[in-house]
Amino acid sequence: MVTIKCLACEGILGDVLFSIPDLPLVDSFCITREDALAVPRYSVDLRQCKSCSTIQIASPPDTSVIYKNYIYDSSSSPDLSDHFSSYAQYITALVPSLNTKILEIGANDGLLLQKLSNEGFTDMMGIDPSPQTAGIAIPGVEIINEFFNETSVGHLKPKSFGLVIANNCFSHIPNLSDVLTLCASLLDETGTICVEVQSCLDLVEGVVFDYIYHEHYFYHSAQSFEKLAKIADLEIYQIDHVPTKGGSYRFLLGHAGFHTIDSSVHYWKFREELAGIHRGEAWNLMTDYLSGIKNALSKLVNGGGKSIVGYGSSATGTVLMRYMDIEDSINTIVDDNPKRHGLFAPHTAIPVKSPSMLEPTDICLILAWRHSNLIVPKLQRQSIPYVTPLPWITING
Amino acid sequence: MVSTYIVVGSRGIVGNQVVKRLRDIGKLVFIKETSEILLSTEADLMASMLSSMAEYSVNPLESSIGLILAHRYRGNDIRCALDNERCITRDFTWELAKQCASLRVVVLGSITGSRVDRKLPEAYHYSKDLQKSIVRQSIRINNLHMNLLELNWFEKYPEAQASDEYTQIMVNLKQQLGRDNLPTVNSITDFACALIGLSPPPRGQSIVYDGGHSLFQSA
Repeated sequence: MVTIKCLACEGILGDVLFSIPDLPLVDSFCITREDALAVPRYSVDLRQCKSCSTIQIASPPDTSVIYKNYIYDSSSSPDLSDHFSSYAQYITALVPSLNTKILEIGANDGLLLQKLSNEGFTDMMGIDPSPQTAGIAIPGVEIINEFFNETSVGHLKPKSFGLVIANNCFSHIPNLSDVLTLCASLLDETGTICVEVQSCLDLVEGVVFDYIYHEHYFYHSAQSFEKLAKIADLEIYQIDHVPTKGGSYRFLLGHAGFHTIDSSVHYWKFREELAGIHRGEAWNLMTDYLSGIKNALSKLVNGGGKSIVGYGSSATGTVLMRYMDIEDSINTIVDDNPKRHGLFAPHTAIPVKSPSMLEPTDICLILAWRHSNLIVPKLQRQSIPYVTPLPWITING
Repeated sequence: MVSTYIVVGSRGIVGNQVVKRLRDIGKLVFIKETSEILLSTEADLMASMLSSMAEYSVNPLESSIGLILAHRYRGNDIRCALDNERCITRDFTWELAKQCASLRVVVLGSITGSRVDRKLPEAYHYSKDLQKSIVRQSIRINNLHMNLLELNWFEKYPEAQASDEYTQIMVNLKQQLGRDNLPTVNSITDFACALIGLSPPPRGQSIVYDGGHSLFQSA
């Protein structure tokens, strides 16, 4: 039997909880059809670490492969701007003053740093290896365009930050226990590490399975993250729940013993226990449920002889099409983001176009189903029949 | 039409009125006390439930059963509140569903006027949130149709039992809404019965039922 090591703590991984076979690199939308067809596929197997309980992709492809054609930027996500505005207000209320020194890990294109600057924070640093980060130019913000590790931040003064923010990046970074230890070394005694991650509980309860793809190594729970924090001598002292990515946790961590543990920590651990996310049955139930959706969707897209157009050229759309095995039935994908028009979907080479090409004779399958509230009114105005695949199938028109 | 109902939490102000209303409209009602659910084994609980039904010639495997959860934890102990919800709203319901052809549940439990009783403990809010989670989980069980009514505002107390302060709050609220259209426990029970009797019955819904107050506030 092959032993697979945990990417977070180097423990040993257990049995497979959930699988997506032959998933192409989900966000590798390409300029040419040939490049798109050449995008490789890697099966995704979720397993749980026997030591830290972190649920993760076993043996994911190397980061150099995953991020070869990475085009995601925070500003392109329709709900993130509003989310970061309220997040910035939350931070303002959380920290002692606007003079608090802030470090943001995974700053991407600087959207949150800009919102924090608008709130009046003046002493901030952002770190991220992506090309978008190099272009950030916000007064009072220092940028490090590299991965967050000992080499890139070793020169910073220990215990100098009052707040460290890691927003939706702790799903992507391997060696997480080391990363948390590094965060702890930079944090002042009473400071806070604010970590936002998609919640594994919501993933299972709300069937948000299409966030499972190669670049998301980890699917965090309060129970597992608490164990990781302990390795770095940190503790979770509060958990807030926010609606992003189908439901996310905002963990507040501090040095062990410096904060009162809020009842929310106990509450979310209880809910996870109740939902059984660290046991196989909960995942089996989700797989069974998705089988029903898959069968119904297959009949729908293969039955009517109509042209099926996908709405939303996102990573999650790629997962949805692959898992449901419907790529061959979709001839075009439309997307509101003009930067995506003219590209080809990974491996399938389905062309991405503007929604203006939609005709009332098409059937639109809303791949970006979490944004249905934004997409459906547009389709209704154009009298385009549409199908929402999840959380259950809805057919209109 | 569903004619057999089980009510949990009938000792409370709301549960008591629910039972009375159900009987007034001709339903066969079985009462399950919260304490009995918390203290019995699942096997004993189900055996006693089935035996009570058999006395009235009700075979749940051949009919649809309505279940209204009107219980509420009144203490401050969060762990206890959560354990109660697990035991009643989830485990009891899940187990009962196994004994029924179709189990149709409406949860009123802890959703009894979050703004009516302003000084509610933290445990109340956690148990309320947990109920939503359990209702969400229920959608995967084929013969279980579980929905939740969010009763932000309703007339909780019969006129004779209402305090002066409560009566005044209700008068002010009705003035704000412009008419006397707040739900009463009777109308809530009728609405629950209507949900339970729908064919096919809805499932996994969290429905705000407050006389339009929420829409009025957000307009």
